[in-house]
Amino acid sequence: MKEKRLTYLTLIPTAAVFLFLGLYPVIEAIWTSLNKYNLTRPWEGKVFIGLANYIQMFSDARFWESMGRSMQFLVVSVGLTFILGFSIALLLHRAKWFKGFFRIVFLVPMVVAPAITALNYRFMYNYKLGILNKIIESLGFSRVDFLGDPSIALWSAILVDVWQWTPLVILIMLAGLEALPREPYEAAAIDGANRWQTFRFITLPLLNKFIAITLLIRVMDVMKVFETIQLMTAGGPGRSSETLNIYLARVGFNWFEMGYASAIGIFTLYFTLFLAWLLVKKMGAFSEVGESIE
Amino acid sequence: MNKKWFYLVALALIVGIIAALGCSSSDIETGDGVDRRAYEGTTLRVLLKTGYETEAIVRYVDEFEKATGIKVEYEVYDEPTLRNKFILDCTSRTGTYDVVATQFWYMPEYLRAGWLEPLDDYPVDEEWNSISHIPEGLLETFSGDDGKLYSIPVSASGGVLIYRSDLLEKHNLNPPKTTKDVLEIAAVLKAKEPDIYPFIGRGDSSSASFGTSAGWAWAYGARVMDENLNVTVDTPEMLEAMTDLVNLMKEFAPPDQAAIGWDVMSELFRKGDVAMNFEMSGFPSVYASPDVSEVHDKIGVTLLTGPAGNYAQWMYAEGLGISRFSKNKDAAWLFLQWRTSLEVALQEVKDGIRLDFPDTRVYEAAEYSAATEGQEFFTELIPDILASVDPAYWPGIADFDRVAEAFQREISLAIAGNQTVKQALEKAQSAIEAIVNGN
Repeated sequence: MKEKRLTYLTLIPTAAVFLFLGLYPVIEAIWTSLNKYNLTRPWEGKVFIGLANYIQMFSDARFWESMGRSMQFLVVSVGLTFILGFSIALLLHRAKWFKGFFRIVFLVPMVVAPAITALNYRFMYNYKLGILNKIIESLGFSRVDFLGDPSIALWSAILVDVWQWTPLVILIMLAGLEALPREPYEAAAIDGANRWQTFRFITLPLLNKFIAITLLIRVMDVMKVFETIQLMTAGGPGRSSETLNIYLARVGFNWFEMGYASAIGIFTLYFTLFLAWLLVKKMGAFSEVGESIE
Repeated sequence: MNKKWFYLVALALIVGIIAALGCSSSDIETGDGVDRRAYEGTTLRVLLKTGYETEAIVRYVDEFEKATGIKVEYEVYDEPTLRNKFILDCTSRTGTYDVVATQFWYMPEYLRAGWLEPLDDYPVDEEWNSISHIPEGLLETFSGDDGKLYSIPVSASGGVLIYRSDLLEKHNLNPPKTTKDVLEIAAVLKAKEPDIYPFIGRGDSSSASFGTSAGWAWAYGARVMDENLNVTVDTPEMLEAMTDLVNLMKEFAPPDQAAIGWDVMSELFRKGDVAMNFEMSGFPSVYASPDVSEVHDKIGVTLLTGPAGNYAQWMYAEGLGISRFSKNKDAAWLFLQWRTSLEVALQEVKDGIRLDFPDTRVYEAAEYSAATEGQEFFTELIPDILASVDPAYWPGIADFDRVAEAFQREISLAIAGNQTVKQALEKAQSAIEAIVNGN
């Protein structure tokens, strides 16, 4: 009984910090989302309007367009980083030499601040000055209008995200591969399993937890992407690369419609949490290693 | 003997005291009765925007600190960040910032919210104060409906066409005088100079590029909103103006023109990849600087008129204002006067920071003529540029940012080839109407 009380007592500081830093801003944002509140009209103050901001959001074509682009970014970027990262991790796992060297090399994109990456790529993508187009041209192809062509701009931003975050997938998956037990492989070899069967029925299930955690981190990361797009295209040309976060920032920090921005923010928060819940629940991100193999 | 020494020491003391008093009084009151050291020990926090307006502060602020004993802590941001910080500071009424750089297009928003301090009633430091030497029209841009001044202008620009004089001479082309000339010269250069882009401007979808489209349109007699704030985007004049501009940008500018803002535009011109650039008149100073430009000695500048007989515009003006919530308003006022003084302006000229100033005395100074020798191609045009500025074309509303973004977004898509100019203008018309009507 005494021990139980002590446990609760030691939890108090953590709970207090969580309430203050985690819960309070969310409650405040929910309250703001129920109000009409524009910072550049201070004389109007906060006017309670119930769910009007949410009703406006669901009937706002621009919101749905930006949501669609966010989903495109999410699916393509998470998919590509995962496939590329996992493939490279498998290769590195088998490699006998330079494993340590490549691990360091792959850290480089991750340690560069996203804002610096975006600014660099902005110039690298430039039609006339950019090094990428110079390389493309030297290979005999015609230059690509990476950021000026509305049908390519968002893909160009996705490519930067893939470049920056594939190494994270490599590192997590490589750590997972190296932590796998030897026994199931030995048993599989005795049973005559081929490489594909070993990979499909042993490696993949054993790595399930790592895969789920990787996807969880990537999904949450992608749902937060802002600097990459803002600094490279600012959502343009037109609105061709305007994702949910770019639209949210525009509503909140260009137009200062804080009520409506809060509604979009709350929606984004709960949508991201829903995706995270799906991964945790369906893929068992926090289950025991090997649980899924049984 | 002792008496003699006593008188000598007493005399020396009296002379010393008088000298000391004399020195300190001249140190304190160099501003004709204004005690410049009255706020000694105060720390001012100044919010600035990147650009040549800020460079002088960065370089010379020590002199202000020495003269006044006021410490200046400045923060420099891009324009949207600066606006965000100022608005958030004013909303929370914390008064973190004493002085803020004010872009003229945000003045209606700041004044509507009452975030800037009126400057008319502060005591004038005759030596530093330059307000009486700034053109009345420019002062009005920074004044409220109450007639009071809320910011001192630091810079003022009009619209110009900057061109590569060597290329025009090479092909026996006269500098363009009209928007039609620009289209014709662009066509000639495209045929004869395949490695050069004939034209460039700001074409991206941000509100920072709105000035290019709106300013070009004024040459055709078109504007986004009339004086009664009716949206006038779908007029035949606007269609003609934007058809020409979009055509210039689609046919004669770099293929990624729809994503180009001022920074890439400037980079391409300075590298010598572009023949003509329609921009604000702050840019020729940069393009003519040998430190940053590969074409510094091959530049010409001209004004453009359009079918309506109006000058094409690219109006920009930046001032310095005092936050209504500042706790150091008097010290801030002293800073504003120092920054806009003739003394600082001439130092800027001498150090090659810029060539155009709102203070008209600068152009009459011998230092100006000496420092701008060889750049007469631009300096001789400055009075005409300032006279050409016509604020009538600008939508002077508090929701400027939304209106500008709604318009430029559609033009940018037309430049990218995703829609026709007519479609772009129709969409912009309804989007801006919705903003103005509060939907």
